[in-house]
Amino acid sequence: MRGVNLNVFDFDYDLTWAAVLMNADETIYGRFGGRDAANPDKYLTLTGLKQALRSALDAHRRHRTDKSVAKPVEEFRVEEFPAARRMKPGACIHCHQVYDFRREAKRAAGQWGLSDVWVYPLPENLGLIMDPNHGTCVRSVAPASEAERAGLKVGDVLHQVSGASIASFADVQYALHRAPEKGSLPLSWMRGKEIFSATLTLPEGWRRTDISWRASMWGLEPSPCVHGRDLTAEEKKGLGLAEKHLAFRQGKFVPSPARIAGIQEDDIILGIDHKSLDMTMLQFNAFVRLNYRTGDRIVFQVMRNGKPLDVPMTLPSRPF
Amino acid sequence: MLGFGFAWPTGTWSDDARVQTANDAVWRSDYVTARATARQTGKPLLVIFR
Repeated sequence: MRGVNLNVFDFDYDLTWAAVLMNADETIYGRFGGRDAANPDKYLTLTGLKQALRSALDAHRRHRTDKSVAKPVEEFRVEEFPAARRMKPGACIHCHQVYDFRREAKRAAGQWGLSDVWVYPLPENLGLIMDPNHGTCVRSVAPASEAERAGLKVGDVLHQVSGASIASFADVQYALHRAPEKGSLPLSWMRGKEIFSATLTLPEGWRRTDISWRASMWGLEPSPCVHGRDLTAEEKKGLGLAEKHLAFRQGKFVPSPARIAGIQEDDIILGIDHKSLDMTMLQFNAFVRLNYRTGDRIVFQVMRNGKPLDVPMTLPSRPF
Repeated sequence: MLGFGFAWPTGTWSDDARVQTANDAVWRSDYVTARATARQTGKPLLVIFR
């Protein structure tokens, strides 16, 4: 990401693949990309890309006849973050590190809060399920959701969200990313040849999404210092556990705080503080980061050689 | 890490004019070149991050 102006290339930096469609004057026509926790390729469809490219060409034709001059975008490069300056000169900066660097800078300025982790919320959070092959088209609307209350129906095609034109799923997510934590969201859509508009209510907590897949999540403190392969449904059944119950086998590398606490390779981690958790290993890592603080005393529930075991540990700060 | 694409006059996209950058060290200069080409040809630009 060195040399990239973040004020121009403003997209979801945790994605493994993202595209920005733009003019040479740095006017952005649209974005393409997006995923959910279950599927990294969910919205990376060729038909969806084709639609985004076509929309960009339309926007480009309109832009060429627009006589107003695009304002130059103020430059802010990733190298300007203090964390980036500590890296070796010329070392590659990965996209997701933008979030890490930004978090560190905001923390240092006393401006960071846990609510900052809810980046790029999914439209599902508002009951809007989009078609992966046609990112602007509504595939279904959840009953009793904000989207249903606003009047959206299956087959509607989103036109604008918060005043911004929509040409892809990534554009929808970008508009949601910029929406407030609580309040309202104006949007309009096409149904046949008619345009409809409404204002969606954004209830408190609407941005909360499963962030366990995000690489930037790994930089959040505190880390539980345990990770490994999730047990299969069959393996869980053999242990008398429900299919979705947390159960993962600690991998070969045991981070020192967990090792000193007594966690060993091949331990099966079943829980924390005797809570009943239905989640994956990645979700467990996110759960600890979002619900505990550095210095908290926790107790792991572990299965070792078929025997249950409690392992207490103090959640450390980095580096460890 | 990154790629660029341009649209051709027929209104379709093509990667014939693609520039691919291998690392951070050359991204900036490739981006400047890609923008200059897009400006000269009047084409839009596709920038891919992966």
